[in-house]
Amino acid sequence: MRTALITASPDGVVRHLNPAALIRNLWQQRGLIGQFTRREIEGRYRSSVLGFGWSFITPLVLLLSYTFVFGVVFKARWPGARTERLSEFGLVLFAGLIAFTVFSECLQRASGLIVGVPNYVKRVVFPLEVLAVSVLGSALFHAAISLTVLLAANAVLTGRIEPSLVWLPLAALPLVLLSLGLTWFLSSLGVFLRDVGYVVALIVQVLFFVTPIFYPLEQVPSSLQTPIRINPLTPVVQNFRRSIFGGAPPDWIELLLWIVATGTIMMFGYAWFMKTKKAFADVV
Amino acid sequence: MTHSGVTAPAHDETTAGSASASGSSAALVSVRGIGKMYRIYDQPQDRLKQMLLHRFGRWYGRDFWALRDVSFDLHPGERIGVIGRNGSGKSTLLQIMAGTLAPTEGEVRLQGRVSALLELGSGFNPEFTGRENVFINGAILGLSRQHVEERFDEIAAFAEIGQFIDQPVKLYSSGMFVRLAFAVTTSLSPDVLLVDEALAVGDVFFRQKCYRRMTELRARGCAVVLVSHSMADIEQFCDRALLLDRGRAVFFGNAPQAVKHYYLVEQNERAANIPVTVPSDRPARSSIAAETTTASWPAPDAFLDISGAPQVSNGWARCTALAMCDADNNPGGAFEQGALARFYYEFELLHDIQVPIAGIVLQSDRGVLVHGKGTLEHGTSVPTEVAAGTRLRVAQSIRLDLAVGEYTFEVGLATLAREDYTRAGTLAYADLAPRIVRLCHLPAVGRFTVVFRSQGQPVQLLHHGVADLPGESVMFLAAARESAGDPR
Repeated sequence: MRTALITASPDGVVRHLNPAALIRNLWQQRGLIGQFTRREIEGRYRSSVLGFGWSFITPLVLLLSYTFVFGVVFKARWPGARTERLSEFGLVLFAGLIAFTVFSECLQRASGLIVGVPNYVKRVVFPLEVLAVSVLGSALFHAAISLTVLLAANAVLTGRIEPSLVWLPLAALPLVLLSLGLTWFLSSLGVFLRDVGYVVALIVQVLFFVTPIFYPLEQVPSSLQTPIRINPLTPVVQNFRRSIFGGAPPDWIELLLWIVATGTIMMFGYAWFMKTKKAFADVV
Repeated sequence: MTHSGVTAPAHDETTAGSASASGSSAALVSVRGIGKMYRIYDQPQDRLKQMLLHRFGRWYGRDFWALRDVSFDLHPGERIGVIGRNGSGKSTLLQIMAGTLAPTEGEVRLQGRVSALLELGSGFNPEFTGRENVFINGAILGLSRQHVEERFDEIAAFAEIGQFIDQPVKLYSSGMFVRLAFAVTTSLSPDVLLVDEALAVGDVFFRQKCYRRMTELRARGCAVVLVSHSMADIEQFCDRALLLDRGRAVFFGNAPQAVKHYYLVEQNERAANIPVTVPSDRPARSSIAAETTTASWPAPDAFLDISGAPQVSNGWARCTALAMCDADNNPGGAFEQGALARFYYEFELLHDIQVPIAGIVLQSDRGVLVHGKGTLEHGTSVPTEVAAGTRLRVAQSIRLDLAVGEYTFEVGLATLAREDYTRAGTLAYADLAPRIVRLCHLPAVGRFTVVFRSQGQPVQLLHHGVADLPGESVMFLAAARESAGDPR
């Protein structure tokens, strides 16, 4: 028989800064995480006619319009690209876009995540931390679909699948950790500060342009490269492209540092969430 | 002097905030000094500032204690009711016990699986289908998917929502919603069940089903905490009840007593407004001659010892004598079906009042209110003002056309303003009832037994069911092929 103790004494942030405890907690909730991720994915297109079709159509239309604007109108090309073909430009751009979309999807859902489920806050003891994970899971699922489209297109155009693809998961790890940490942090903050949603939308929009998605980092004047380099999404986007298109392997030391840095962000996001979640019921 | 058959029941009254610690080791739930202070925040962000900055001596918001210093134990199989007016802290208490609301002080120790049905809705996500919500709730309670699957058919059958089970619950009617919620909450093998007001939405059949289900759970050792505004439900279903008023535990003990205390709390404001005329030189201006009363008053040894019986009083009166006799004024507690019981009781007024109302309530051993009637319903002639210090005597007889079994009775005194009394006949019950101010009640002060008649004519058992009702029957032969009930 399990025993629970409900007390008034606030538990410290430090208790939640333990990565092992985080993993144990999420593992225990894997059933719920699975259920909510599935719901998150299904729920989006539930009552639409095309359903999952939208998961393909949306990125495809975006890809075509970006390719048109940057490739045709501005005549941008990637330095060091194998060909000068427009299609290759589009695919490289798409790779960066897939990575960024995971991040932006999570952040845009974050602010309303807890406020949107008052029943889970007030009526039952619900492990609310699960919701951020399912949002990430859903974003990753859609990224996987886009990635399949991308790899298929690339295979058709170049006739090959790069072996460097094997380290794509590692390249994606900082993205996962960062998105999860920020989703935890912002979903909690969104409970207390209803402005969070607007601020986040703005920041995501700015980050979209401060991340080398449409342009290679090398094209940015060196004096302006610093803000782009400290953007955690920059190495993610670059490593994505290298992995998918068979570029040089990532700088392992740098990647490791990014994993540690984003891992720390995730731990603090989690600790913040767990610390503040006691107060959710007071304001939701 | 107490004689067999009629005794004051033992009462386990414990005063608020100091519930006995005995037996707490076996308790499923142990609530200790629980308090919840709300800070009224003008803006949600102040809640966050409070959490982050309070240690630097910055305070935001205003204090409001929704609940304070509440302690009690809940043992396996026990059923506790929580009663109180709106805003008394009932829901807050349940939310804290369910773990959805953090207390400001005190602690709750819980053993086993706690399942809660808090207000309307429970932990359902309106966008999800009934089926999905069942599984999610199972997962929240820590049950495996397989376990929930085994119970799923039972849940769906209990909820009686048919094909709607695969529709989003936002499309459900409130009745369907609560049926499913109750089915889920009670089917997933809880050790402690918390139910807040939820049953009020369902129809009578559903409510009966719910009480049956909760009784089954109790048999398996599940403890139940029930919040309800239905005092009849509390009296019938709960062993003990906790009365909250403005966040404080006012009374914790046997359920019928708690209910009487609730009525006192509920009428508090009204009592302050009741007109009291200071009587003239005579202590009681009465239309009843004092001699008539004494004439039918039984001998002193017929009276019960009520010194230990709890009197629920607002301080304006106390019961000073009580006797229960048979038709021949012999004291006793066993009656044949249909026999006449005579009750004699006396109240001493400690405060001036206008029109007194006295009466008796009979309850079955299951807590069902069988009969309640008093001087108001009888149209008894009563004084229109009574001064403090006066003793009022009432002789009341009741024919016990009741089922065989054990019953308890209570006596009570209330008052009504003279102006309201004179027009009582023109007032609707709903208008009259709130004008009656309860002064003193002795819940379940005594008990009696109704037995089979020694010889039966025409048969020994004159009726089935709780009460004998007046009526008659005629039987005759109809001519062949002619049927009065035939629709053609």
